Amino acid sequence: MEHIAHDETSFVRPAEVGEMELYHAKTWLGKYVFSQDAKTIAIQYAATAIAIGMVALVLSWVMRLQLAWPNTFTFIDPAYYLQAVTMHGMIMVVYLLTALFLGGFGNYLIPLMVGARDMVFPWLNMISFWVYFTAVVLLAASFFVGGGSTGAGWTLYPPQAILPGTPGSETGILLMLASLAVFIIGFTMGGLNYVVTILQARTRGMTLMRMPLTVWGIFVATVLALFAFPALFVSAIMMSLDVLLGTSFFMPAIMTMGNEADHVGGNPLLFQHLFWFFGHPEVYIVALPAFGIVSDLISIHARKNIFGYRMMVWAIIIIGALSFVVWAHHMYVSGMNPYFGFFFATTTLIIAVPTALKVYNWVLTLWQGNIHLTIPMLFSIAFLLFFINGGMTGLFLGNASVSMPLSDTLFVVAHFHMVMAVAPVMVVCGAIYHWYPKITGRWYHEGMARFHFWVTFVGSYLVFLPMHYLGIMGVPRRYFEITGTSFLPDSAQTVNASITIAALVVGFAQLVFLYNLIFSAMKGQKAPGNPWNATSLEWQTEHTPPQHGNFGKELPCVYRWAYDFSVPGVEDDFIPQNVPPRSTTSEAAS
Amino acid sequence: MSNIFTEQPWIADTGPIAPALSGVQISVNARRSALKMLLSVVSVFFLLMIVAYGGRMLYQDWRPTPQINLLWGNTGVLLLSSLCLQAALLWARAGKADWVRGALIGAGILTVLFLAGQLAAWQQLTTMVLGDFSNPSVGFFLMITGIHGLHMAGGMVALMRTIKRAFTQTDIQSMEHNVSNCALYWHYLLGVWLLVFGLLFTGNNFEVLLKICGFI
Repeated sequence: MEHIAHDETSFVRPAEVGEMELYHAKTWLGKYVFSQDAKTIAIQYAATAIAIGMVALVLSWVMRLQLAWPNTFTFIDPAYYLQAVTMHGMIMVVYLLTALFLGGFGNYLIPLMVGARDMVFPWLNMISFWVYFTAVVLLAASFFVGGGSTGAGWTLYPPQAILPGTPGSETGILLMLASLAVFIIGFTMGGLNYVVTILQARTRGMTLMRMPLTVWGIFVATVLALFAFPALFVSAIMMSLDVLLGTSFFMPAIMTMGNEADHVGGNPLLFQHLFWFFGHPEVYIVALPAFGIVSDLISIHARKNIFGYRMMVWAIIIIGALSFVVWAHHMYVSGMNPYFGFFFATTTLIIAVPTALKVYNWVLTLWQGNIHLTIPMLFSIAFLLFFINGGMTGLFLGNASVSMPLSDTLFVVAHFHMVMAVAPVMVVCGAIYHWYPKITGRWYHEGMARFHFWVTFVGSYLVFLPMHYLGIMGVPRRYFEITGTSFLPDSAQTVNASITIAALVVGFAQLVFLYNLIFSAMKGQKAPGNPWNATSLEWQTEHTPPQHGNFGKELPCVYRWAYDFSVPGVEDDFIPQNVPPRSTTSEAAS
Repeated sequence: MSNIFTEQPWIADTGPIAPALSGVQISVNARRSALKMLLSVVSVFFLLMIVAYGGRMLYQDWRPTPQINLLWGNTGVLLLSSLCLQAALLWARAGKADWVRGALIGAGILTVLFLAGQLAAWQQLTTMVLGDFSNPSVGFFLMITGIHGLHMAGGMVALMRTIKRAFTQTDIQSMEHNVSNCALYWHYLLGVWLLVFGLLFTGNNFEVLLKICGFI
C-alpha cells in the first residue's frame, strides 16, 4: 500500500472564529455535581432517567400482577392501579425516553460527533440538567403526598383529572403539572444548546450532510420538542389555574359528588387538542433519535455505508414536519367532524411513506453486508422487528373507521409499546453497548449482555404480541379487572397471566443489564479507543474516555462522511472522517 | 458551493471545503442564534394561546373581557421602553457609551413601570362585574398577560446584566452585542403585546381573530 504525504491546509480553510474557552472546574463539586462538561451532564441525565425509569418498570409489574391474578394482592386497589398506570406512562415517555435520548445521548454525542469542544453554552447546559432533576423530584414527591400521585391516565384528560374521586385529584395532579412545566423549562434550555451547537460549533469540514445520522435524528427531534412542548406547557398552566383559581379553561359546568361545581363554560376538548399537538410529535421526539442511532449501528456493524444517506436525512426531516399535522388521530372517538377524521387519517398514512423508506434503507444496508452479530447489532435487528410490527398495526389505528372499534383496547397498548416503547428501548440498549467502551474505557461482560438481549427480545415479544389478540377480542385498557363478561373466554385470563410472567422475567433481565453496566465500569477489561473500527469523530479522540474538551490541542478536520466502510482498494475496511483524502491509496490514485 | 440539497456526501474532499457550510468557520454570534430560536419557541407558545382563545370564543356562553383603559397607558410605556433600547443600540453603534447607559436605565425603569401597570390592571379587573375567574375570557386574560409579564421579568434579568456590564466594561463592541440582543427581545415582546392586546383585549375584533384561527 502506497502512502502519500498530504497537505491538510490545501483542503481546509482556517477558522474565522477562535475556539471556545472552556470552564475548568477546580472543586470536586464543580467537576462532578455542577459540572459544565457535556459528557458528565450526559451521564447525570442518563442516571437520573434510568433511576426514575426503574420506578416506572416496577409500576408496570404492579399493573401486570393485578391483571394476571385479580384481587390476589391486597396492596393493589383500584386507585393504586390507576396511579400505577398513569405514572408508568408519563415517566416512561417523558422522564425516561425523552430525557435519555436528548439529554443523555444528545449531550454525550453531539459535541463529540460534530467535532466541538463542548456545547456552546456549558453553564446553561448544567442548569438544564438540574432543572430536569427538580422536575423528577417533584414528580416523585407526588407518590408521598396526601391522596397520592394522579391516577388520571397519562393523558391527564379533564374534567376527570381534577374532579374528586379521581386518585390524586387533591395534590398529585398539581405536582404532575408543575413537574411537567419545570421539565419543559429545563428541556428548552438544553434544546437551544443542542440546536445552536449543531448549527454553529461543527468543526471545519463537517458540513451538515456529513453529520452522522445520529446527530440528524437528535437535531430534528430537538427542534420538534422545542416547538411541541409549548402546547403541553400551555395546557399544564391552564389546568393548574382551573384547579387553583377556579378558572374554566377546560372545566365545563358539571355536577360532582351530587353538587354543582363552580366551573362554567370550559372546553375539555381544547385540552385534548393541546395535549395531542404535543403528544404526537412526542412519539417522534423519541423515535427520531432512535432512527438516527440505529442507522449508525447498522452501518458500523454491517461494515457498509448506510443505504441512501440523503434519503434518510430528508425522511427524518419530513417525518418531523408531518408529525405536527396528525395529532387528532388520537381523538377519532371524541366526536369530531368526519371530514376532520378523513384529513387526519390521510396525513397519518402519508407519514408511513418516509417511515417505510427508512425501513427499506436499513434492510438494504444489511443486504450483502459483512454483518457482525455483536450486541449492538443484535439490538438493532430487534429494533427493526419491533418497529415493523408496531408500524403495521399503526396502519390499522391510523384509519378512523378501523381505529374506532379498537379505541381504548389493549390493541392500542400493544401497538404503541411495540413502536415507541420497546423499539426505542432496543436502540437505547444497543447504543449503550455500542458506546460503552468509549464512555467507560472498558468492555461490558459479553455473556451477561447476550443474556440481557435474548431475554429482553423474546420476552418483550411474549408480552406485547399476545396483547394484540386480547385487544381485538375487546379487552379494554386501564380497567382494574374484568369479570363476568360474556365476550371474553377463560383463555383470555390465561393469556394475561402468561404476559405477566414474561413481563416479570423481562424486568429481571434489566436488573442484570444494570448490574453489568455498573460492574463492568469498574472491573471490565480495558477497551481500545476505537474497538468497532468506526469512522465518526467520537472514536478518534486522543483519550478514552474523552477528556474535558474532547479532542487534543487542535480540533479535528473532516474530509469525508461517516460511512466510508469497505471502500474498494483501501487496506482497512473503514476510513475515519478526519483522514485526509491523499492518505488512502485509492483516492491517491484518483 | 455545496449545500444540503445538492451535496454528495459520499464524495470525499478533492479541493477546499466551502466555508459557509462548515460550522465553526462562520463567525455568527451564537447567543444571537439562540435568542432567535428561543423567540421562535415563544411564538408557538403565544400562538397556541391565541388559537385556544379564538376556539373558546365560538361557544354561545362567551363573555368578553371587560375593557380596561389602563392597558392603553401600559402599551405606551412598553413602546417607550422598546424605543429606549433601540436608541441605546443606535448610540452603541455610534460609540456614545454614556448615552447608551442612560438609555438602558430608562428602558429598565419603563419596563418596571409597565409590569406595575399590568398588576394594577389585574387589580381593576377583579373588581369589575364580569371580572370573576369563572369567566373563561378573564382566565385567558390573566394567563396571557401573566405569561407575557413573566417574559418581561425574565428579560429584566438580562437587561440588568447588560446595564452592569455597560458600567463596568469599556468595550463598546461587546456592549453593542448585548444591547442588540436586549433590543431584539424587547421589540419582540412589544410585538407580542400589541398582537394580544389588539386582538384579544380591545373588543370588536372577534371576527378578525376567528378568521385568523380558521374558525370562520
